[in-house]
Amino acid sequence: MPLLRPERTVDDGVMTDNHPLPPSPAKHTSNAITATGLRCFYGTFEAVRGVDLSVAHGEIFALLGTNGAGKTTTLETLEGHRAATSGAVQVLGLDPFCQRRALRPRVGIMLQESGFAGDLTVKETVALWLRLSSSEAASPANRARTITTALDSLELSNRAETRVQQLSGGQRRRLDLILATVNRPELLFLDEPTTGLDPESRERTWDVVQRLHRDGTTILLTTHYLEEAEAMADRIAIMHHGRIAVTGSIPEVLAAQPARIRFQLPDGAPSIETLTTSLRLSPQENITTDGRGLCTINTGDLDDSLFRLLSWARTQDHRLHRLSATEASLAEVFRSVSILPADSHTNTTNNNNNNTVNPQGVAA
Amino acid sequence: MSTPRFATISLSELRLIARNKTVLMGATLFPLALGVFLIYSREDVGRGWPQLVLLQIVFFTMFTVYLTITTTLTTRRNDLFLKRLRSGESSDVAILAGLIAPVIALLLAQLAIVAVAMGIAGATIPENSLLLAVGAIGFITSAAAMGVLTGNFTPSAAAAQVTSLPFLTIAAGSALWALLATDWYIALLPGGAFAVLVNAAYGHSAGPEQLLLAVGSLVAWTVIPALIAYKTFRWEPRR
Repeated sequence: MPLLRPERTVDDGVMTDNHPLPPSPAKHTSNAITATGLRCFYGTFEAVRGVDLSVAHGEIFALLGTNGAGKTTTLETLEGHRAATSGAVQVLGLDPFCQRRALRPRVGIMLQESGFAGDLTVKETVALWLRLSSSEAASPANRARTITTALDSLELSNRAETRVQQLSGGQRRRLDLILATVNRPELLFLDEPTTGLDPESRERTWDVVQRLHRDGTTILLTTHYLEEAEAMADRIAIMHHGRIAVTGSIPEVLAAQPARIRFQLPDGAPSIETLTTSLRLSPQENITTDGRGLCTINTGDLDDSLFRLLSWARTQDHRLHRLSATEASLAEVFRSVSILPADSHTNTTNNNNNNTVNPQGVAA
Repeated sequence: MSTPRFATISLSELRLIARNKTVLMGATLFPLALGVFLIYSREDVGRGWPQLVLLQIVFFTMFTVYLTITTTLTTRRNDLFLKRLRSGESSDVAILAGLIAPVIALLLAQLAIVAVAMGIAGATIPENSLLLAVGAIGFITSAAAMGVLTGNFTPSAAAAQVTSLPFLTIAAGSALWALLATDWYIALLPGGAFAVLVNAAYGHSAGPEQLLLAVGSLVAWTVIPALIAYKTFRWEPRR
């Protein structure tokens, strides 16, 4: 079984490998965002190289990836900030670039970098934003209350009369979030919303996001904090070199990555090749050693492999030292993706390091 | 009825101009001081009223409109404020109009002050005010279009001092050149074209083909930069 399943898409609970589902009217209405074959160039550089993506209404979807993976370009294309070079994109049933003005009242956008007029105060900035908005919260009758509530929610009330250029980086990010969310959008784009924030501000940010999510807002976000993605997102996609390498719910993504059993073989134990044969490792499993006797079994079925290993140890009367068994973590999936070569968009087999032994007992 | 979005952006922009001392000096106090000096020194240098009207409008337009639009667009782009505005509901036209309108309003206010000052100093009224108006509108719009275009190619507010020099030289230089010479091809340049129309407004003889060339030149200096600016406009800094 391959360690990763590049180009895998999950749509309406059906997972398909390497065969993105064709767009259909039904899917367009059930998804808040649909992108098919999305490609974006900067001059001759292809930043996004054929992304297929769907985000269901009411879902929190996290786009992960290393720096330069194409996350922000993908996000900004979906926001309508740039035109796709090719491919089909629909956001809330609209073309985000050509129908930008129709889309804007329904979405909130938090850019990767804050964009403010430094000489306006915090309160003036929010007021300007509301005056440019057509939402109910921005109406003259509600405006003052909306500003007060928004500043309170992210603890910027005490900075209301401060010019934006005098805010700290974290305060500017919180002001960014206020502008993105103050109109209670149907769809919220968050580009690295917690980068540069202290833990308390991060928590407060996610509180705001979760409140919106509970009210039905669909959220597409990028982040470098995997634990945040794991805690917040219904589904994730990991981008690498302009492509989506892995996508699915957290359990689905983790299931695609092998679990790991580690143990130290005692002195006098059989060789690793013998052990491989004795354990009857399947083609989905392999065993590696670090050269100092610490063995690792990578397996797709942790329970079964562990049972066989313990049974073998009991039968052979071997005591396994330093035994541990762990499910794969999102960080491991991320690392596996980030070492893929740039032109890899088919599957990868085994990215493990030295002394890899496949089930047939041949050293790799 | 709620305020149009461009007006909301304009009011905010006026507030920003008022709070930025550098822009405030460059766009208001400096041109006003220059305007007063030109009136004060008129008799000493033997300059006629048509020439003074020409220089006032040219200098005010260059400093208040051209340079301010160039620096404002560059600064707002680099601050990602243009991108921020574009993340909202405003149309591209409303955003640009909102940034340019306060500068034009500022210019008109300055010209009104100077016109009153010139009236007090005994300035004569042009025989054909329409020609003066056409020339002034043409020159101001060409400066605004060139301001947007120059802003597109200006990497920073500091660099605007260099990138603005070519048009500044062409526009102001050709206006000054027109004070000294009457060659027909001066009208091919914006300042020269405006000078032809100002002179004609004050009754100096100009053939219809010369007037047509001047008007056509100002239209071209507006439309061509505007089209190029539209095609090359960037809402965020080049990465």
